[in-house]
Amino acid sequence: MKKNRLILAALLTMILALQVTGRFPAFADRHPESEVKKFLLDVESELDDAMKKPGAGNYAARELQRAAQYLNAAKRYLSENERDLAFYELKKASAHFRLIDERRKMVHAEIELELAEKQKDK
Amino acid sequence: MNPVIAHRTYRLILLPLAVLLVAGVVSQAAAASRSEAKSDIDAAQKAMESLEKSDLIRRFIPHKNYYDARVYLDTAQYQFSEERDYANASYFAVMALVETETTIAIARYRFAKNKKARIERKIFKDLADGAGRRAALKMALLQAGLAKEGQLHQRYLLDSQLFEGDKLEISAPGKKSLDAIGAVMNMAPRSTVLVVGHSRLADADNAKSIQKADAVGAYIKSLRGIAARRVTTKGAGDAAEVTLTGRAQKADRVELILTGVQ
Repeated sequence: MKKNRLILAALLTMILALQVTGRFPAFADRHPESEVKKFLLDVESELDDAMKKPGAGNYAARELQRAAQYLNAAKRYLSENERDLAFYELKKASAHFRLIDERRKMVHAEIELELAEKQKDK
Repeated sequence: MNPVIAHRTYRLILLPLAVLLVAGVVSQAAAASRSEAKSDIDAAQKAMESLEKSDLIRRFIPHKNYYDARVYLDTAQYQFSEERDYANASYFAVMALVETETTIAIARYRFAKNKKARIERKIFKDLADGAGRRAALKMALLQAGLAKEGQLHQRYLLDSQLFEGDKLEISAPGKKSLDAIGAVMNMAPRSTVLVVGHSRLADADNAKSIQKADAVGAYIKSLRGIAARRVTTKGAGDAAEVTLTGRAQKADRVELILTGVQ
């Protein structure tokens, strides 16, 4: 009976240890708070600019929505002091800005092509 | 029952239950992040397949972007199946998806530019065989992107092609497009233009659409040789759709409809 109790106690301790180390990693966050906060402000301002661009909803509605989702996740992680997780959410958000710009160019080029095709047919 | 035995039995039941509960919570959280990573990888994989299967744009694919996307996707799959680091797998999968979509956008842009240049070369070659005013007018129509629809010549420009900032200032590329339309109007002195503003979202009293049409109308009127009476403007709000990237949708745009171009 005593042996059983010891095994159970050991199991419980292991699970608790896993839980605790999972929440508080043994190593410190690699990205300092000031860096993450600055990155967050940059992404926020770039997203704001992208949303204000005329017609942005036509060429990149889905991409803007996704970038906003990652930005919100980063804010949530930062409020929980999970700086590394916040940093990588911001990296995901900022990766969208080049895509948004390329989509704008693509849509414009496809409109011009469509018009040229109509002219060819006439 | 002996109280000591009862107490021990109680502890023996309660302790495993507590262990199971804690283990259950841990495994549930792991399963959630695993399924999230799996769905991110699936989305990236699907985008990559659509890129690799597209014969149309294959030769226009930018190799560096494609290579980056592939590396991101392979890393995501490795993190998922070998390292079982689902947070990292999810991060690399999202980066793979974005890079693949960027690769597709660049390839489609290059394809459209290339095809348009080929069409223009062909039309210009045909026009070069003709001469005089008629050929010159056709060239001007081509440069302005005006397509013939019945007796009318028309085109639309997205807000992103026309304006910069949020104050309806005509951008440099927007001015270039409108100058080309002005050139057609100068070659056809009896022509008139109707400028119609459209919006993607509901527009109370068509106010924003009218403002856009007025901004474009004012610029055309300011061009040399175009009398104000030849330009009329109106706002249509979000009533009409247009085919954009292959599907009909409401769009922030300005439509230009020319009549009397002979």
